[in-house]
Amino acid sequence: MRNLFISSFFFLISFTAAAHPGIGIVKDSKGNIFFTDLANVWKISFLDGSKSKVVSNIHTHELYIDEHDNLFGEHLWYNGESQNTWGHYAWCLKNTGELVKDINPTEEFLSNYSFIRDSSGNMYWVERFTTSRIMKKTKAGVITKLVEGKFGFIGWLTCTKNSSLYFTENNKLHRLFADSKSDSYRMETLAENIGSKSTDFSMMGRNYDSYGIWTDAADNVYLAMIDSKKVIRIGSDGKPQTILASNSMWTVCSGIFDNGGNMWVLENSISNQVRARKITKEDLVSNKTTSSFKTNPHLLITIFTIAGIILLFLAAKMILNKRKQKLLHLAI
Amino acid sequence: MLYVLSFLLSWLSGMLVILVTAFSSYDQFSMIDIASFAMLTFAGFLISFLLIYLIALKIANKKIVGSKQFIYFPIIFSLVANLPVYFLIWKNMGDLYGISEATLFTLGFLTCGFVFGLFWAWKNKIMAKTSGI
Repeated sequence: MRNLFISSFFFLISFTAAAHPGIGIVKDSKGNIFFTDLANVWKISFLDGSKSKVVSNIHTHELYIDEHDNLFGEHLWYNGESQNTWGHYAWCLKNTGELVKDINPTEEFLSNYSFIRDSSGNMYWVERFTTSRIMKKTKAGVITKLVEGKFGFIGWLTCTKNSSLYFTENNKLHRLFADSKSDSYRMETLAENIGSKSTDFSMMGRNYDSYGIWTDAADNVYLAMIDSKKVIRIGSDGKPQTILASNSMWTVCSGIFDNGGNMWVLENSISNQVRARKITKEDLVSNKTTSSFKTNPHLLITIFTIAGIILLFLAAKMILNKRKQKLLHLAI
Repeated sequence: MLYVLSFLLSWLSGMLVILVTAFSSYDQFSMIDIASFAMLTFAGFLISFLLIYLIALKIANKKIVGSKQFIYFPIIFSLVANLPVYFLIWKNMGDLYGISEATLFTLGFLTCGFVFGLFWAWKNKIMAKTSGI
């Protein structure tokens, strides 16, 4: 019984793990948009909006593009149950169109390397343990620890051009930035209650559902709330404001602003399809996007469950009445 | 047929309690959450039903008679027959799910057992009345 119970759990966990979507969406200096669907990297042309595949057969959750329009990503794979090991390499699609390996195929997960970089090429990543750390690696290869502490779960990081790092910890949003008076970094909490509570079985597999994180030119922070299917903006007052709500089939995982101030969102469907969608500057300003149709499966299923209980009860009553009549008939 | 109906009625009642409680426990309860709770409670309750409930029902039907069934049947099925399930829920808490999910599972199974007990007490009362006539 225990095995069966636990097997069903693993089945569900594998289902939710399969739904672990990517956040890689970047733009180059011309305004072309690149995004990952976890199998290929696609480019949306700034000229005519046409979509083309630029890197095939790679599994990357993140992307980075430098100021010379060189695109970086990884390829992560599992070596099967017999070996139970993972492998990876990092690649770079140069602005000339040449695809080269930045890190050769290596066992295990990517370490001491990241696609979260500032304009100077410094890399930043999170080491998630009982005591979590946020690390920095300079272009010269010097690794330093920026902050350390017993945090709750730290989500994805994002880095602005001026090296400010934004990240979520459970339902809090933090900013990590270089202290102008010293060499150290300072952390400030920008918002205390950004997440909405969900279950451990949700797409996030945790109690709070903030996912991809990005900023606009004015340094407002945007968060994709993956289970509640919305995008929130955290302004300078720390208050979350819903600026986009998607329908029940698609959920926003990440986003970016293009050179014209339009927001591009990376969306994942319930069947694990991926698309990039443009939300125009005008739609964002007019708040049109928050009034999209939204279903409430919870309420609907509760109503159906009540109806099911009534029907089953009536069916049972009918069967018992028939049995009663049969008994009475036999008695007579 | 009545066994199947009692199983489905009890499981759906358990699911209803989970769904209703979730309105106050969570800000959102997505399709994945609902499917996860539905599958796990269905699988867990089916195994309990086949391995414990049917045997317990056979014994309880012989040992407990009359209107006492309305008190003892719900207690037996919601508390005693569910003990292995409660143990597994408690044992896996923290590893596979958090305390909120464990509470919902416990409430769900408690309701399944309670409704199952009430159903069979009600069924026995109706059949006993008919036999008495």
